[in-house]
Amino acid sequence: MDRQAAVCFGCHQEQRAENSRPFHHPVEGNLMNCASCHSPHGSANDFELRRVSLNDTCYTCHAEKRGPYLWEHAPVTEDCSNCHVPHGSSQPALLAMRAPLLCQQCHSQAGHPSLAYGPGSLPGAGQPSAYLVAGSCLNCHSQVHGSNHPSGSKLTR
Amino acid sequence: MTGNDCVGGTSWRPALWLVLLASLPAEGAQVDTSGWECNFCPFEDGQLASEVEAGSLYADGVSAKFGEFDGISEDGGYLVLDGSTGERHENGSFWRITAKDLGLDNRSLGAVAGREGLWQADLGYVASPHNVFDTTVTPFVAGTDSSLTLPAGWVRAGNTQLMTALDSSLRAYDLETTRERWSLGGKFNGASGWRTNLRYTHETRDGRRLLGSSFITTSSQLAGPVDFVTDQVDWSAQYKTARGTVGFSYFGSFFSNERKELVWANPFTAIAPGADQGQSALAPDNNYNQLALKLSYELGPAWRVNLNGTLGRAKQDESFLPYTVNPLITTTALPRTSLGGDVDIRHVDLQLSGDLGAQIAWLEGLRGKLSYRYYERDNGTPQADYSYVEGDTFPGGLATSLPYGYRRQKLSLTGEYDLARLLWPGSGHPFRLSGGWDREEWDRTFQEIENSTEDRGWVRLRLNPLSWLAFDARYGAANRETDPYGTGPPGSAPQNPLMRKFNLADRERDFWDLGVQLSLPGNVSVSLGGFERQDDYINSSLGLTRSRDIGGTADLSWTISGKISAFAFYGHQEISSSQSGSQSFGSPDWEARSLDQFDSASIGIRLDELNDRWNVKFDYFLVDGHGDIEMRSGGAAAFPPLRTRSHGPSLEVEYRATPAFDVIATLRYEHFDAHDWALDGVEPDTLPSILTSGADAFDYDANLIGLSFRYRFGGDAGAAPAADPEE
Repeated sequence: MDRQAAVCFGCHQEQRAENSRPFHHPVEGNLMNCASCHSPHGSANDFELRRVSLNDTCYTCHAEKRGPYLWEHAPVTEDCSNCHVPHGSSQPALLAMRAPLLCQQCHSQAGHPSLAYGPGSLPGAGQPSAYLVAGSCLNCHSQVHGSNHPSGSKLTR
Repeated sequence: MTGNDCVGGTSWRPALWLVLLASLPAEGAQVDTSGWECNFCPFEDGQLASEVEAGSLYADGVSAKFGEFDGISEDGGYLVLDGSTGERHENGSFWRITAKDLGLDNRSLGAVAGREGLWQADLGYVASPHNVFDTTVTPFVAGTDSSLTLPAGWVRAGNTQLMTALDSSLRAYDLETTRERWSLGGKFNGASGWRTNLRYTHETRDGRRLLGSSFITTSSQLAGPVDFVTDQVDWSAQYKTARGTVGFSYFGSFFSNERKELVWANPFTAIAPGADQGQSALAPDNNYNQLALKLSYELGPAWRVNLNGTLGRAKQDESFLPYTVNPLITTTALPRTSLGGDVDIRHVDLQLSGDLGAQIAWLEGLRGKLSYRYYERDNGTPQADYSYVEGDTFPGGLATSLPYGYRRQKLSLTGEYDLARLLWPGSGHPFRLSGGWDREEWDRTFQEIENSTEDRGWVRLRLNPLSWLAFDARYGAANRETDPYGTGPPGSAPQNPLMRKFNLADRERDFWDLGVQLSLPGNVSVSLGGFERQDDYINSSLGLTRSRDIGGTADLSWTISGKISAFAFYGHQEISSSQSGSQSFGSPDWEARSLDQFDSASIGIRLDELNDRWNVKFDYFLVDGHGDIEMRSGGAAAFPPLRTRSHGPSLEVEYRATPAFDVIATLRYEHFDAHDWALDGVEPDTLPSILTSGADAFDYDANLIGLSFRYRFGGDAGAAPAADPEE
């Protein structure tokens, strides 16, 4: 464990437990540590973040997501933690929930966004559903952080 | 892996001094420190002190997950190569060069020089991989021009199972990216109260990421290229007087993507003429410039005001790609040739804090803070109508771009009072009561609601009833109310009118945290913690309706003797949620209930300087994740559990053969297995309409064994290596 993370986790045990989840940021490596995002000696920002908002903090390392994009995804522009859990998750890509359920917490359009995809749609249980497995919604809508393609309004391009 | 713990030209000595200062008797009694001697950080005093460690690691049974962030993802040998050299003088001047993990993909090099308290300059390089999957396959062939083609002899078909050349065309690739970051920085402390910092970083990120490639009814998981370059500049200057500080700063971020687009061949039979290839736009270049002002001023002996103001502008003006690469579709002219994207960030934070008791005698011991925060994302990107093409296949319709913006304001009031002054004055055992209230208001554009307001209140007790016992408890509640829910901006795909997006919905939230710390006889310290957060979306019948996050941790550390210590940690967390949907585009007719449970445990033993020769570290960890999802639509049906389990021991033994020469042996075993219904049994041709990557959930038993030798020369080579403060 990174020396700095070890010091922080001495008090922040909830974050210590979250960091042991299968998907987490590389605080044990040489690239980043807790102070990459937080100012341990004080900050005027929420959670003592180094930048003025959560998104601005994330863009420090994920600058490609800053945009602005032609087709933006509204919750992305507001708060990365609408979908991601920064200190560790059991879901890939630090997601808060599995797709398609994560997406269906906001999308209820008629047709495939509204359908219930249960275990009967898994391989071996019947006809596997393209809306459920592999990348789920991202099998097609892979530009969830925004698209700059003139035909990308549905975040597929 | 170096024994010297100097980082960035500074050691952990300041932390040691802070600890020593904090331990001084409060009444100002004089402590005779003349006989004190630091046993952990011998001072080099002008002598060149160097250290080099070399050896090898051998890995067996590893996978991308095992080496996710260090690159030990292939079986075989790896070089261990670390080192440092430098000197430090009595006048505070120093320089040091360090190298870490040079034999791994996760490697770093750094050089730093300066004079303590006056100036410092540093130069650094770090590389860091992110290995995602090593079981991915694809039939596509990458070109040099951001294109993916299909191999000769490829047979297009309407579904994957009829692609007769698929099996013979698949080739393996690793889904991974690597960052390489160079940095140059410096800081200078002027004699007249000025201080300035400057840092420049240049980072490249190369590799592949999964990218969907839809042709409306079919799609493929592609290995999309990642070829990013980001330059960043951070500069700040601060002037400090006896009563305040004023500071300015600039932050600039300049992102460029060497790959602007990806063109790929359609492996399926085109469902419309000309839809034989598709094109996606990759992340566009962008830049961000930000200026900030920081003021802090003491209004008197007990009051302080702080002001932070920030102005930033993000710009993106990448040239647009055409609507389609399908030559048989006639398109209209684009309304613009590039976005002209322009977002202004405005942020103000104003705080007034002080000791009310300094002004009003009967309020002695009461401290308070009033703060106001304003954050605005003012999106000035021009709107336009785009006659889009659906998946390079059919003419679509007209879509209007929606440059989302929002304004967020927050007013907070907090206070703290030491109840011990009333309850048991002079006891020396604090009993702090604190509380706070805040109101946060959001105003948004182009969304279902324009305004939401959330009130939040909390109360906290911190109590040290005994010298060896401390409690910390907090409870709070919040209530968010929103405008009447609308239908969204004109032209957007209609949602079920009962849907309430969780970030825009009325919500009641309860939360509590609890912590207990005990310092027990025998040098045992125990820390217990618990928390719960529960959200009820009280007016949501579709979408997320309820979520709950509850957990607890226990941490024990035991200093058995001056040379032997042990620790144990356990954490448990449960995250549950309920959400509803409607297949009939009417009332809710299905519900999903999820429960994500996670346990983590670790134990460790440290033997330090046994017989002045042996250092031993032993750790064992266990993590167990279990995710259950139950769908209720008529009857109830449960998904197979999402499981991730890993555990294993690690042992590091360090033997000091001579005062300057150490032998280090490491041994590590890790078992990892996962069950993931989104990946298990999903081969490239499992889904008729999606050509998938075939990635598998991880399952491995990895062994890592290492032997290295460390040699110290110059300086006080025979001294014990500086202790690692993390231990």
